[in-house]
Amino acid sequence: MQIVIHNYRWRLGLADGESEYAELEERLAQGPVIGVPTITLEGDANGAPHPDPSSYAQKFSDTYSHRTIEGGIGHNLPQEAPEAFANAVIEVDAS
Amino acid sequence: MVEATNQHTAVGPLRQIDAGLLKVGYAEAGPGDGRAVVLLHGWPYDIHSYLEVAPMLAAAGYRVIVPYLRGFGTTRFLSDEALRNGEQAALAVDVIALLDALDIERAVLAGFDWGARTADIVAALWPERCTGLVSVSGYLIGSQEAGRLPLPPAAELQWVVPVLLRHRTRPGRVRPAPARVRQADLADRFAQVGLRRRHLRSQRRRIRQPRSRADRDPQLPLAAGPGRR
Repeated sequence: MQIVIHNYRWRLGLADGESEYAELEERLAQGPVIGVPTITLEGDANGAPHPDPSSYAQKFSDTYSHRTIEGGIGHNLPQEAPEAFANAVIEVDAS
Repeated sequence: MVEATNQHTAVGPLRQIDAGLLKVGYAEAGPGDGRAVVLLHGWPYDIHSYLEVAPMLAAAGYRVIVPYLRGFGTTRFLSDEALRNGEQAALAVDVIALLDALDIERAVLAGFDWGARTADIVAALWPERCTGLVSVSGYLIGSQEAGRLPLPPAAELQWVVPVLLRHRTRPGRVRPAPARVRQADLADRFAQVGLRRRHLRSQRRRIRQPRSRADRDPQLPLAAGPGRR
């Protein structure tokens, strides 16, 4: 519970982080590009806040593909679409 | 391709290992000498989100590691004094510490929600430890600076609507929102400038009201009057 509260307060600037992570956070604040093979997934019924896939495609510089999984798939994608999730792992590992 | 079996009740045998600041509780499945994959859960979920995925990957020959994040399940802080820090970099450092403790040089990292953010960060800052990334909802790395900025209206709505709907529930009694209150309807209503004007008018009335009450009631000390909290 403390960690969850701290996580959301930190995101909103209402709580400080720890100095040992400051340098990493500075690098993350620059929005670093991800340079490993990547598959991004989204459910077609994700009711939680999430970015549009077109907004982040350019953040991935290696082999990249995006899949929107259909059939009423929500936020808890690995539980709701386990085959799609497992296949993405296998395929990204083969790329 | 793998197929769902829908008959699992445990992700795998639960283990504990000291890693960094934590004694990490994790499930492991599959051959110990298989290619490693780390499955990261989100909030408010836990490792059971991978109940079906873990055995599928184990059957495909992977060494599957499914840790409870800090603050979850059987994972514990080694020190009672440690700040219960939830910042994004701390969760990523936990994963690196776990890979070190398990003597895993490189792994596929896969996750959703908080777990996707953590996997993104490890892939971005420690690409030498990550052979591949599967991320639900894509690129989720944030910053406090970004957190201070207003979201675009459509994104703001995604956060506002769940909060509004939650206000419709009473303690101990969870009521689903009426079917007629659909997100699209709310979006339309929010888009109407008139709503904002009405809201402003009602706010102004609420601000004016305490002053007139204080005027009417000389017993009410001004300093304690509403509007000065």
